[in-house]
Amino acid sequence: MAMTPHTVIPDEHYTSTGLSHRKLLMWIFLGSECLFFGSLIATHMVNRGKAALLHGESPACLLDIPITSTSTFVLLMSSVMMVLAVSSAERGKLGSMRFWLFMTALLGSGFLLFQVYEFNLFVDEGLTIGTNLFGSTFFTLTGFHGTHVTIGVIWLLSILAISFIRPDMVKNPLNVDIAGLYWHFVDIVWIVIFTVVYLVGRLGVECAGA
Amino acid sequence: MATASIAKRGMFARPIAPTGLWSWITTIDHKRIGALYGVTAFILFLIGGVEALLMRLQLSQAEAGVVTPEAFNQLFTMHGTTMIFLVIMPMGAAFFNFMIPLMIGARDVAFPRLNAFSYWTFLFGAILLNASFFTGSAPDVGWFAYAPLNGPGFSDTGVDYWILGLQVLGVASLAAAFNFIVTIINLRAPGMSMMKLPVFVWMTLVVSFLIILAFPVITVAITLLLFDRQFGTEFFNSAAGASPLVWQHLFWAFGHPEVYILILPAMGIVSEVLPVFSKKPLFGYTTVVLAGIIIGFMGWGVWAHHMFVTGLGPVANSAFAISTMFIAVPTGIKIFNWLGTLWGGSIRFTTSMLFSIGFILLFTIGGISGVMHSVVPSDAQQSDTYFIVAHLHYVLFGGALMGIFSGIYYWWPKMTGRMLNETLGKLHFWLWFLGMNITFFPMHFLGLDGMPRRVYTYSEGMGWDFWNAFATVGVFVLGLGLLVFLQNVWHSRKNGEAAGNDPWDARTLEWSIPSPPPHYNFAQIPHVYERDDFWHKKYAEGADGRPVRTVQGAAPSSEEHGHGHNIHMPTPSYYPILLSAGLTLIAGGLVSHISVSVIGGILALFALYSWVFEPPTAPETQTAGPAGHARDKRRGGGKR
Amino acid sequence: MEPHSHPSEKPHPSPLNYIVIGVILTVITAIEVWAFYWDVPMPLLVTFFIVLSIVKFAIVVLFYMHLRYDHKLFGSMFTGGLLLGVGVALGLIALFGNFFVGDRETAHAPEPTFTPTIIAPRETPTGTQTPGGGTPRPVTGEGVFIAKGCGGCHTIQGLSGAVGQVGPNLTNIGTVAATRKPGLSAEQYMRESIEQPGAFVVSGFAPVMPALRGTMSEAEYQALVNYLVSLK
Repeated sequence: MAMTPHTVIPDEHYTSTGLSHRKLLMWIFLGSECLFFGSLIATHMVNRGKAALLHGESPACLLDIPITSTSTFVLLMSSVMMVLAVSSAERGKLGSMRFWLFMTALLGSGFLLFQVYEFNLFVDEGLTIGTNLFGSTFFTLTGFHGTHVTIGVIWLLSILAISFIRPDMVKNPLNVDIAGLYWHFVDIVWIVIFTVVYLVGRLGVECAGA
Repeated sequence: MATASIAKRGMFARPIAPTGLWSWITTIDHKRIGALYGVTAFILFLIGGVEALLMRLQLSQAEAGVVTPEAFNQLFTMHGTTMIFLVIMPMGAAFFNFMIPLMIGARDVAFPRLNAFSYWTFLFGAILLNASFFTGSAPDVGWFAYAPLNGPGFSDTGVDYWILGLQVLGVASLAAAFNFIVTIINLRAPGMSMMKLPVFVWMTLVVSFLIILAFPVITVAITLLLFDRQFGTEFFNSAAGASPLVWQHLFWAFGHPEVYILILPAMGIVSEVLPVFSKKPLFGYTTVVLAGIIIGFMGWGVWAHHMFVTGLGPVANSAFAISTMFIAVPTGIKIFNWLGTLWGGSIRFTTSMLFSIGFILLFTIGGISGVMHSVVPSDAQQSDTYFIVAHLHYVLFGGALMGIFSGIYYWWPKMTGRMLNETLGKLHFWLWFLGMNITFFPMHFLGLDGMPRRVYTYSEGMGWDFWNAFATVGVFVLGLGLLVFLQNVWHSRKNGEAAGNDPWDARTLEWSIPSPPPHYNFAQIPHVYERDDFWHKKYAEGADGRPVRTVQGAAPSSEEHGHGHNIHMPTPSYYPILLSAGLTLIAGGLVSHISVSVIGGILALFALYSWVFEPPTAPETQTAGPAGHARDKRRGGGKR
Repeated sequence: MEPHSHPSEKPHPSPLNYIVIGVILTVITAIEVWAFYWDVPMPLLVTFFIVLSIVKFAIVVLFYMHLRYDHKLFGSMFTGGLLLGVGVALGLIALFGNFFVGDRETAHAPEPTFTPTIIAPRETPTGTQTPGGGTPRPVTGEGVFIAKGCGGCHTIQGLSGAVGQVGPNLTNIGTVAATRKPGLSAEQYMRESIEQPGAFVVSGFAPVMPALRGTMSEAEYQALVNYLVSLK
């Protein structure tokens, strides 16, 4: 970063790049998270097709594309809500920011409910985390993703609450922006999981119920 | 940053006294945090050293009965884990913490409270890991804990402590790395472009990136292992169709970048020390920096060279052998640049300089045995023998540790304001140089002669007795050197010569301020015009190219006069240590009782939210007089 | 006050733009789900899914996460981690050679570097070795016995490769099984031995047999049991 020498007396908010420390931190953190989810996805992938069969067929047969497509859509819509919340914050519209934040958290929770429903369905069919290799990798991967979504929902609701009790702390749109980056990241990880685990994972697998 | 005005006080009054135990517990000053890291890591170094001593005593004779086989397994596991995660990395962190802001002209790191959190999490993680000794079994599966030995049914609760301890330590390292990346990118003094940074700062940046990218992989690996052990998953269970090799791949994909995390800081230190004591700039600054960056990248492509004997197949073996051979190139480039720095220089053989030169020699020896390992058929013979033990100790003791001690001797005056005794220092160096070679060189012979590692004893007829006994003698020489160092430290506390700002006539910014630095570091943030800016303020280039002292010298400016008005430093805080404690309790509860985890969770949530609401700088200190002398009536005035 | 715009940064899109992008994302997802039911060769479909998901990924990152408008530094931080994560994942997948899609019965396992002895014809076991893996083979009891490694610990006279001495000799196990445990038929005892080897260990042998039921399909298991019961 070349800087032209001119007399700048840096105050305590000086930065070399003109960028926010915290925003930079979030982006670096997301880069790091790529390795985390990459390793989990890789573990699922290298074990593909090796799991013991469940009721005589591949455990991947339990994956339900219609249901998961719906939950994917819900999460995708939550990203739209999120970016609208950030946009409202940038334009100083506290009321609509609160509304969109609430909607994001709502849809995020909706996604989580879908996950819980799906997990229960699998457990009823006899697939738990310890049943076989597919159960282990599937529940671990989607479980960690779901945990990230949960943390995101709590974060958004916290911002919402803070916007009521300490509105001065949300004056800076940066806070919502940074939360938004995290939320979108969680969404794009799901894009990868949906494609790799569900769509590709279910292809070519022969199942009784087709 | 939330610059809210607090309408009411928080639950506990914000600590602002500058001295006393609480000031250390709540400190967010990078210099104090660096000191804490240094002292803690040193104590753990002694513990790791005792573990090594016990092993060497056991191996000094055939079929000695010094320790049981089970104890031996715990010793080599804990020695490795301790030295890597609890000694070398934190010693590096000690210097990152103390020096980086000073070298880039900043007042502190980007996130001071996060910095404190990193330290406390490290301390608590170290305690958690070592607590396993008191529960009957420390981990005993090797520091790399291969599957299936690491799995349920094949190993004891020690492995659970290992997992959870590493998880906690991982959080500490990650937080610190994030902090340093933002600090180095965003808090450089005006005019300090990236290519004017001291090499040590560059290496810290590369190491920090390696940490944030490699630690998630081991986090996944040990989480999967924890799940196998506690929740009945099948990740490494071959009977379920899984391959135990997945563990090895995940571990070494982390593990290889980890060894560069261990060595690059020391290489950075050497790159600082050699120019100062050769009175010459670093030869090929750009090349050295680029080589460091390239090593960081290439380090990701060599991991399976730790797995040459697992049957990867000829294609994989060849690919990793070639990449491993290639990574010797940027390393070699650095070595030649260091030699080029020495060449033609006006050398001063201070203790620090001796350690750096020793580093070059010993690390090169370790590097050569490393290249020998890269040849797959050779490695097939060397694997799991003492040849590898020799290699790793040459690079980690002769390399990383000697480099770190070079830094200790170099920066001691800056950190403490007092000089260490040079005679004792040189004695320390020679005892360690000698002792290190006595201990580890024979291991090359023992290894090629077939002595396996991680085995608690050997039979009389193997012919290994002599060199083992010889190596054990070396440990005592090393111990003697350590005692000399401790005596030096103790003596220098009261009797060490006062250091002044710049005892070494050095080149970088940290030497332009008093020793020890005032808590705000720089009274005025300097403007930087070139690399080694401080040197160029002291010296101009004469007609024959030699340095000529400039008339004004290095203008001490207002720092000498103790000014520093109206500098708003971040205020100490309770929440970092509370959050660390909460997270460690969560981890500890998973090996003991879940109620502990619940308590930890509540504590962590409380600390986290309180932290969020707490402004970085307490408003009530902003109206105080000279920085640091905040007057708080309840605490009875500012004391120094 | 932290600066929230840097000279090199461009203004962010309007809310309407965001909604339009949201619609595009929905349409792409709908296409993916619809494509799932197309009757198209698998490699093509897989590639199609991967391409579409990359497109969605990029849209969210560039527009919703503002990488297209914000300072380049953020982009390089993220992209670096992303590329490395993808690289490590691909590296692991390549090392394990697990490229196929679908369940085990139709899976194409990679060529093993070690060639196990597989008996192809049912009646007369020959000494010749047939390279294993690759194509689906008829499921025979003998084949399963060898493929699952049973021959490494048990001997069956006449079955090439079944020469192990770790566990009991199984040459006449069909006869023995019927009377080994009172109350259990030969087939029941056979199943118990494979599913829970620790339940009954023949005296003189160590309790080290792994539970291998999980490594075979129902068809393989049945074939194995039938074969063993037939060894009178």
